[in-house]
Amino acid sequence: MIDCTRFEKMFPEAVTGKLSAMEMAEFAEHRRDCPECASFNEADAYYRTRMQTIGFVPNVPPLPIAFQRDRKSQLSKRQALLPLRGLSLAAGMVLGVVLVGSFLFRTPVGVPGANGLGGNSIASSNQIPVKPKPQFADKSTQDNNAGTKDSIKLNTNRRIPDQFPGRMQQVSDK
Amino acid sequence: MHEQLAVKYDAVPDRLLMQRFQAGEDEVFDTLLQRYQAPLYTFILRMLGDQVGAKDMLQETFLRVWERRDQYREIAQFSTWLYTIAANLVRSELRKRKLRRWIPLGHQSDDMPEIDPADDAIGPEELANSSGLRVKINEALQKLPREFREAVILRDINDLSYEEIATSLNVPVGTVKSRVNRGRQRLQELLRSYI
Repeated sequence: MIDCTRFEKMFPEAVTGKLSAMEMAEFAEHRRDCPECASFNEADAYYRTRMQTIGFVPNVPPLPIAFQRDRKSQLSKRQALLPLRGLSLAAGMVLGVVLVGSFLFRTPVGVPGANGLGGNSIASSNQIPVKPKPQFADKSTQDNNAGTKDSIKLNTNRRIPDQFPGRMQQVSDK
Repeated sequence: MHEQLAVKYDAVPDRLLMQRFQAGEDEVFDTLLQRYQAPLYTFILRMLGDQVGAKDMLQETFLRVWERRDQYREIAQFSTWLYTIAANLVRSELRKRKLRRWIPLGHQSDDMPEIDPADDAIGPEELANSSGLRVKINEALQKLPREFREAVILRDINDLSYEEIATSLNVPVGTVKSRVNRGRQRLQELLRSYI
């Protein structure tokens, strides 16, 4: 049993009657059984020959001298750059983590010191910066409404930043 | 000197050359290069459509072979391993070019017309005919989808078997046959008045 590659190779000889009886039987059997090769005809065979003679490029332009004569040094340069690649990748990852971290855990706007003018900034004192205390609702309000929806509402109102446009309205509603 | 060595190993099969190359006989590499640079260059040139890119990619393919010689296993033919490397590089280059088309960065070498070095060896009349035909074939190939193009080039120009193509492109043999058939049909339609 011949395969498709062999079938295509045998095709010109089959057409011109140059195959032996046994080869011809194998050829015919494959043509009958293979759906892809059943449609292969003279035009395809001619096209294949033309593609091979015209499409193939026998003369390759010379590769750069650096590659031909100095392959080892070229490769060693590439290999020397590999740790640098790893280092830059690691640095990029660290930077990414820092950026994401600073975005996620940034101090809320409106908390004293957050804009760099407060007393806790490193620029204004040599002391270790103290994390600003979160503001809570009045103790009395907290006690009265503890665990209820109102307590959550009140706490949220107190945390609304100065720049928030709806703040004044909410305060005045209250 | 390189050519002398290439002649020395001329009759040695790829498998044995790779064994020696993996054992540290670097000069064997020149024989492999001599043996495969023309078919590989043809494949890359017909896939990319420009000479400058094809030359760079041919060099890159052989550099990868040099670097990754230890990764080669005898279960695969050397030629299919080589074509796998080249096909992967070509795919990645075509992806980059597609991106560059969206973000134009000035004049690209892709637009350069193909001047085929094979033309040096033939007469002026034949040159006019075949060179024009080569350009037409190149243009027609560039119009095929990448999957069809690589299958058709490997089968009809490089004359690889369906099994070798399937291994090189890492797809089933049936898929290769279907791609080759459909690619051929389209190519024949495009080149009807030329071939």
